[in-house]
Amino acid sequence: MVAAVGVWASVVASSPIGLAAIPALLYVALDLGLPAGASGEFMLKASRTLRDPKALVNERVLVELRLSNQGVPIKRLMLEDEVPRGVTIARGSSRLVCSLEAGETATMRYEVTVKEPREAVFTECRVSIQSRFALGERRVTLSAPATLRVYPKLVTRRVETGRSMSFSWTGSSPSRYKGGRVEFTDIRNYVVGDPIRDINWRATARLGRRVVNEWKSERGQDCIIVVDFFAGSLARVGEWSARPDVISCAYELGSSLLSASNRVGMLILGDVASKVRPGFGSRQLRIMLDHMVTTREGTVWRFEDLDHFLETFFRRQYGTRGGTLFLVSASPSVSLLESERLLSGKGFDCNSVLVDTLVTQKTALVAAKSLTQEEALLGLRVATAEFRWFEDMFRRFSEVYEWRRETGFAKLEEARRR
Amino acid sequence: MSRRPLAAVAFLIILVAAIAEPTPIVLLLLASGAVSLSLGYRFRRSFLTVLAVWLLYFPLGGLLEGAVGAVWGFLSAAVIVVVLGERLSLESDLSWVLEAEAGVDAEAERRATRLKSTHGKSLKLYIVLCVAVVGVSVPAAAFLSYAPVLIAAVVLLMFATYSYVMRHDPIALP
Repeated sequence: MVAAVGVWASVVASSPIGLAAIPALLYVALDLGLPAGASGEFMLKASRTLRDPKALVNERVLVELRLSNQGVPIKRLMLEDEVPRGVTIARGSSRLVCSLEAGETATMRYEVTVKEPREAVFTECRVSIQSRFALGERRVTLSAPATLRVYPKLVTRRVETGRSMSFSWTGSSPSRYKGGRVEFTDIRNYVVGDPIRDINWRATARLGRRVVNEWKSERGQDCIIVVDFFAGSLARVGEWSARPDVISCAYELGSSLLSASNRVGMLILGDVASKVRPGFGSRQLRIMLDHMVTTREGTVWRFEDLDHFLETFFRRQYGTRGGTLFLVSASPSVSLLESERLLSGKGFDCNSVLVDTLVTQKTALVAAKSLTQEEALLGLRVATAEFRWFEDMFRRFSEVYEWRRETGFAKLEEARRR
Repeated sequence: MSRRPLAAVAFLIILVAAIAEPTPIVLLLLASGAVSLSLGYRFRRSFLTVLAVWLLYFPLGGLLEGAVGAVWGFLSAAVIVVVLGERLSLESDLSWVLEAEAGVDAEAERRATRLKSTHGKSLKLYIVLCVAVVGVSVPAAAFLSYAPVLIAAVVLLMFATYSYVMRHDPIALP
């Protein structure tokens, strides 16, 4: 209609400017009708596969999105995949432009990476069905769900002993997993019920009576790692967040505790209060890691609720007061201090594990141009002073450890020397 | 031609038109076209690219007017604008695929190239139809006192009707 008016106006007014209507009309005429069919004509189906639904941080994962056309042929379409927040395309493109004949399937492939441990949920993709020259377009959204779980890399650091640092995760309760055979201490006369494997055959032959070896039994501890995912405690600057560091720290801590055959449970104060009952072994570590990856930061659960949760979820440990608590937080706060005071008063052995992200946070603030270098340095000094003050306060009620991504765990004195 | 040379052609037209006819209205149109083209190129937006090219229509028509006359100058300008805009818009869409790091999705690249080839054929058909319209209009204008534009419009409408019928109900045709 517009083109016809243009031609008419051009003829009547004898002006050549309306002549554009002629090629334009021809252009439109060539392009007519393609996506104008009934909505049922385009029978498109999308499906998605991930090469590996579990990946490590910054590891490339291949995403394959298949689009099959069971309806009429499509001259031109644009397939655009919806990439979840926090997922970066490392190679390839999340768009596909092609034609699709009836019964044909097109596959789009690209690689993604995720910078922080999380659960990335792919939900849907958008398809624009276009005419030959894309003057007409119909958009449909297709469901193609898939979930990618991203885990932190486990750094197993050797804990230096001696003057610089000397702590081990060995507790006072006998370990279920430890056989009590760590160190030979003495021999004694055999009594009924002693295991045959403990009989010292050489000594028996020499002394003419049955004697058995005695071993110093290994000790383990029952401990619960409390991870602080309260949104106010996890600093976030643009894409940067303290959450990956907190997860890495708790992961490393859990690994360290479990590898020393301790019984470890976990409580995550996130969008939901997620709990993992105490257990042993590498399977327990994987369960704890899964919980940390899937739990998001929240605004409800915080350290004030800790006493109540411990009583509800970990009744036996809570009743005996024999448990050891590791409170992992990226932001020392009064509520953490108050919880430690309360719990240590009730007989718990408290350990504060403070995740130091101040330097990386400063770098992120400068990179985001939220602060100048000078302002950031001043802020870092103030924040460090506050951090140190809290550490001193925590020492009244707990052992204080500091964790940094580069250096791992350090006891407070060692951390300060650094 | 890929996206970059096509954008270079558009910028060249802007430059030549600005030098040839530096009137305020032309310069304003060309400046808007240059901005729109740059934004469309940078952010790969087809709409901005097409808008940029259509802003060239009047300056380009004026440029060609001196060479082939007002009527055919503006007609040619419109054809150039349509072809350039359409191709640039397609290249903008395809650039997501073709300019991505290769090695992951050979299939997408192959499909994009195939679409490009089909699209090229469609554009050639379009140019042939335009030439046909003009070709029929010129001799018709010799016998009729009306402007050749009117003749062109009639021929064009015949094409349009034929095209419309062909696309919507091919079974109804004999």
